[in-house]
Amino acid sequence: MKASAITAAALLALAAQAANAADAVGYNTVTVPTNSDVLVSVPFTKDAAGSFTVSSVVSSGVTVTNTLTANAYTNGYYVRFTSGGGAGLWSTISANGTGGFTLADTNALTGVQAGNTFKVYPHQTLATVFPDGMEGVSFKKSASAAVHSTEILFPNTSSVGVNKSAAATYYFYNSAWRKAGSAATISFDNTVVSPQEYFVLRNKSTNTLTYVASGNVEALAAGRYVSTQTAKDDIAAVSGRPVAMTLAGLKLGGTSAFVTTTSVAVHKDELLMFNNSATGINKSAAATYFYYNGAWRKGGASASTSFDNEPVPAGAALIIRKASGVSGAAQWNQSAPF
Amino acid sequence: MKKMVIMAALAFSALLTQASITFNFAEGYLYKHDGSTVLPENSTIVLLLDANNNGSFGDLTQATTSWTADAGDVVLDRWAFNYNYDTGFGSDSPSYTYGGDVIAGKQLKLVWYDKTYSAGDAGPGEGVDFGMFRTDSALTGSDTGWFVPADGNTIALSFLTANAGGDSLESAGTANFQTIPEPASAVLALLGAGMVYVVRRNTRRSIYQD
Repeated sequence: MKASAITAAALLALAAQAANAADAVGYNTVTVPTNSDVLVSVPFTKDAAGSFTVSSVVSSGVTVTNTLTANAYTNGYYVRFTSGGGAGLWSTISANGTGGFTLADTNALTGVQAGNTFKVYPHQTLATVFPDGMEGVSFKKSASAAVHSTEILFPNTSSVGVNKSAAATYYFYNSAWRKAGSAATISFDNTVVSPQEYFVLRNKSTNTLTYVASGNVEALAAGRYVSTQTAKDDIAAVSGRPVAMTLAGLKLGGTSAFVTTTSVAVHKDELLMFNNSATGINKSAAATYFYYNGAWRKGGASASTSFDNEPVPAGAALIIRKASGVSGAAQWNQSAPF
Repeated sequence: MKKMVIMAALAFSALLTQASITFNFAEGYLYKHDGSTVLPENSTIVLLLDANNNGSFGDLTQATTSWTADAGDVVLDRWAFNYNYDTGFGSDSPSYTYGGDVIAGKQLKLVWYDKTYSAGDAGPGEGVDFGMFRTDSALTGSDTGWFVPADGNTIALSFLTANAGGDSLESAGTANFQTIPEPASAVLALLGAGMVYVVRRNTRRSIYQD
């Protein structure tokens, strides 16, 4: 993490997006070596579009007493509950009428009751995470549709398995983000960058880049569901916070969302972390952790050594390698670390 | 009850168990046999895998009822050529399950046929023009040579001619090869050649006789 490589103009370009700060504004940086991948996230929000109170919970979403403009929040926005049993959970808004929101992921409604509060935020997109002003800093435009200078790889979240390759690859060409395998005339600028998943920034140029994530920092709970499948499965995840944490601070180990290992020889759930300083593309994990005997343990290290205080970088990309089990899901809730 | 619904929904969201690899292909410019007319959109593109790892894809001119010429090879994929990047210049971004025949280090070969893609085709047929490409080197637009990468990898593999910003000559994008012609055509061709010989011979005779 260093800020020295960022130009003032580049930061101004990002700061303009966070003019009306909530609790605070900030930014993280990650150096991206040439011909290398870094796994990063956006642990910041954009300005909230509004704060609401749940009037009632319906099967597809929530109603509110406010009068909304129909479909003003469709697809480009998400809700995050800020109180009650669903505090921290979020979902993209798939539609909205004048009196409520329809959620794309109704799992987020678990525990939500009338009187609970939530906020509505615009999603981060490729165009907001990589605005034009950051060209040459956090990404390089491609000279042609076939020879890419920078690629953004989104993880595969729809299939079950381990070591899953990317679900989609994007590159910047001819003034917009384009998708590999699609016509180079289609803009993917509005592609949503999920608040709970990392992406890979692949620097194929001859210049070192500096990834910059910026926005608002709010002292709110963050939550998500962690699913279990009948087969081993890699789940893309993030620390979700713009500050360095520890493994214990993730509030994951020892919870129902992360199966505790009972025998060091046969790990249950594992947590994979990556080294963004290492060069190369398609990098494997730098370290694997599991939760055993009341503490985090590290693959290759003594099982009697606690790694609870192992540092987790700001906005860290994580893979939760879920052991096979009975299909289901458990909620991972994380109170604000600040 | 709600928890059960969530569990069921999440269970059904799982499509299949797989470790995977993803390719970002770019192929262009591709040309018909004349070397100047670009390959039509929806022509057939085939990705071959040297499954038996013998370093050979066989003589594809002999493959008419099958897309492969080497008994141990397999068709990893086949798709319709698109003009995603330009007329005669396409791209695709497929993913494949890793394992079985699809193991790191095995060779890949790209073949393009001047034949309209049809999902049901078992082979290119006879007398069909085609071109092909593979290299061990990571040329412009590619992250590696044309090999299966390691489990979980996403790589760019491109065949790019100079006009597409790549390292290959335009002629390398031409459908320079042809599958063997059907027997009837071959017989007709021989008959035609024979007729020409007879006519020429008779013509010479008549000249000398005059």
